[in-house]
Amino acid sequence: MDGFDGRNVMKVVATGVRVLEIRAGDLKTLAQFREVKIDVYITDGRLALACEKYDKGGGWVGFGGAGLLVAVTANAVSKARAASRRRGRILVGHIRYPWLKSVGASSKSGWASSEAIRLGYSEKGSGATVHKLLELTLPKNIDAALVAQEIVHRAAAYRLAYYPSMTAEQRAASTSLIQAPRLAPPPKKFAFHHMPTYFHVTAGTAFPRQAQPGVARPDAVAPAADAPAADAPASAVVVGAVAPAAVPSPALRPGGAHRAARSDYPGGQVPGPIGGLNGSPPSGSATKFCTQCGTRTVAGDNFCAKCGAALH
Amino acid sequence: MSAVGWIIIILNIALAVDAGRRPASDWAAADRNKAFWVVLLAFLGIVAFVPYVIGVLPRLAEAGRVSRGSPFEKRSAGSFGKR
Repeated sequence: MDGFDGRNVMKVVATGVRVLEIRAGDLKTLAQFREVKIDVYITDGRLALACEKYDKGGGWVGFGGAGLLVAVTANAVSKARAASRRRGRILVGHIRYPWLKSVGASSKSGWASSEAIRLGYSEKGSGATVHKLLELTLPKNIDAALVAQEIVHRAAAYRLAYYPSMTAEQRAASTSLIQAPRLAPPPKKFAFHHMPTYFHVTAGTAFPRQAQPGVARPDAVAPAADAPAADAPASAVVVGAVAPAAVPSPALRPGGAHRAARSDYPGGQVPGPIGGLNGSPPSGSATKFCTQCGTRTVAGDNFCAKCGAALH
Repeated sequence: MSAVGWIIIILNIALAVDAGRRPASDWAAADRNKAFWVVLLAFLGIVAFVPYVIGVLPRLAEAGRVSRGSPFEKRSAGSFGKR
C-alpha cells in the first residue's frame, strides 16, 4: 500500500485472469490463470491483484477401480508438487490509474459467457506501442458493470486530483466520468468507458509528477525525529517536476461520448490509439528510490521524505 | 431403512441444497469448486458429508461473513444457486 491508495479499499474475488494483446485487430492471450482465487483490490490509486494458489496441479481423471486409484494418486502427487513450486511465492500485479486507458465490462448472458471486466493499457518498449488488456473473470453473482463503474469513478477522480495540466476538454471528460453510469454491455460483448488520457506503463508514469499548487502528495510523510535538520523535507511535499505528457485517447470526442460497445471488433474493444506522445519521463529526471527505505524520491530533493536519509 | 439412515439422507439433501444456494463469490473466496461439491453431496452422500462439513463449510461460512453486503453483488434475487 502507498499513500495514493487511500483508506477506502474495496475487495472483490476473481476466478480468472488473462493478459491479452491487441494485435492487428485480434486478441492474443499472453498469460492466463483460470479457476483460481484472485483477490482484487480497488483502491484510490490503482487496481491490484494477488493470487496465492496460482499453481494448483491436479487434473488427472481415471475410470474404473484401478483408473480411479491411479488418478487419485496422480492428483495427490501433482498437487503436492504444485504446492512445493509456489511455496513462498504469490502472484501479484497492478494497474495504476495513470496507465488506465479504458475500463470495460461484460455480463453473463448464458452458459458460455461470464461476468468479466477488461482494463486497457499500453506499453511502449523499443519504439512500438503495444496495447494490452487485463481481463478478470468474476463470480456470476458479482455485477461486473458495477465493478467497472467503481474503477472508472476512482480513476477519473485520481486524474482530476493529480493531473492539473489536462486540457479543459480532458478535464470535462474526466469530470463526466466521475459520474459515469453503469455500463450496459450487449450479450457476449464488452462495453467500455474510455479515459480521456493515459500514460504508457513505465516506472516514471506510475505516480503523478505534478500536483496542483498547494496540494500535498498523499505519500509524503513527516520526517523522522532524527532526520537532518538542514534541508529536511517538509511534511507535505508539493511536487514541481515536469510531468510526462499524457497520450490523448481517441475516445475523447466532443459531446463527452466516452462509452463504446463495438460488435465489429473482438470482444467489443475499440482499437487503441497509434502514435501519440510517449508517457516516459523527460530525460534527466529518471525515477529514483531511497537506498535506505526504498521510497520513491522527488526530483530535486536532497533527503528522503520518509526516512530522512540523504539522497545522492 | 432405519431412522439413522433417514437422518443421514435428509442431512445430505439439506447440505446439498445449502451448498447450491451459496453464492458463487463465496465459493470463489473459499477457493472451492461449487459444482464438484454439490454433485458429491448429492450423489455420494455420507462419503462427502464429513469432508464437506470439516473442510468446506467453515471456509464458506467465513467467506460469506466477509463478503456479506458487497456493493458489487447483483441486486436481483436469483434462482437456485444464484443470489
